[in-house]
Amino acid sequence: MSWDATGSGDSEADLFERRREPAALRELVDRYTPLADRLARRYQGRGEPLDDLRQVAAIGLLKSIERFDADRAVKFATFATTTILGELRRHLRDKTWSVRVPRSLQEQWMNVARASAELTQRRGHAPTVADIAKALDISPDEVLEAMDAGSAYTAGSLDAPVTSDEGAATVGQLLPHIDRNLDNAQDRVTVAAQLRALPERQRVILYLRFFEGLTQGEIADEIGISQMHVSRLLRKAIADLKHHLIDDSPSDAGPF
Amino acid sequence: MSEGSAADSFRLSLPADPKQVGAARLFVATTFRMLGADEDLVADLKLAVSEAASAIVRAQGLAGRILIEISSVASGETVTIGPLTADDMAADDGIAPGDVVVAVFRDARIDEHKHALVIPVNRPRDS
Repeated sequence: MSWDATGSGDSEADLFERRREPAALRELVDRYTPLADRLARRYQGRGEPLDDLRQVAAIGLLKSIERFDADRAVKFATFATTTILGELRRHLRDKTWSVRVPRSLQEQWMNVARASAELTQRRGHAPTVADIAKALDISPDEVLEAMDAGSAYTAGSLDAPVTSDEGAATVGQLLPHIDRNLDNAQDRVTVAAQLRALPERQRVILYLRFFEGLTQGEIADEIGISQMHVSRLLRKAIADLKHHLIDDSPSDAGPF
Repeated sequence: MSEGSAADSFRLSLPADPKQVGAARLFVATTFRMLGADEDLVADLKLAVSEAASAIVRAQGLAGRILIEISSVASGETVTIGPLTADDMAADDGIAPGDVVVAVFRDARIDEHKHALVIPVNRPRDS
């Protein structure tokens, strides 16, 4: 890859070397927050506020800083993009975005479709995006966004039978009743803002337990302490976290 | 860019205007949805096309064009977008567009001969 020739600069390698130090971590976060924001913006228009997407992308950035192996041949921006996109997708999936198009966008899509049909009938040929924008008094970008939503979010009916056989189960009957992950993402975002106040080991354990979904035994293996010790630290971390959440001052509520 | 195009290819030429980056994205997203791609792949493509088209806009200015071609190949599709050089994909505001593109399409590369970014999109064929 010819644009990949430069690799990470020395100063960046040094920052990764010292990433456990707050100043170095802050420098890395500052340096790559524009990337996280850029990726978050790509997922706008799916019913999630941009601020939430930026928070989720920021968590992805933190994870990638923590996991990045500076000795490997991959550049950090590439590694971070993969991690941040994974985080954004998980978040959007948790929020079932694929079947929940925001009402405003649904209406906009219907307006665009209606205007397109009317203009086609009147003129005898399909209108351009600019024509539709002018007819609806909206910007071409808004037309494109509505068209994109229209082509993306064609949801099937939950009552539709899965086969043509008589008495076949419906899609809805085959779906699990409760998605317990549905509201977790928002909580994760809020809690993440408080994690930095905890001692490093507690932070790592909380991260492995609740972000990575590892069991206490797996965490014990991962960091080389007993499961009892993990359990104790976990309880302590949760208690401390509760304390911080209750006493949290709004001025300290940044993503890190 | 059209040299040697497969019979079943889709092409679009747009002014190299920031306002057209959305149209480039929509073209690729709609074409791939039509070809049966899932939304994760479409999201990756939109990201890569946004990065590439924005790089073209920066390099070409309003007088230039954004050329996109989607061609069917045995293993899936190939998206070719240009005109772009390796320098264009390295130019940035701190983060190279090329680094973002290879995060989602590892085999993406600049084809010096075509003067374009070539993104191989491997996916199982519906049959």
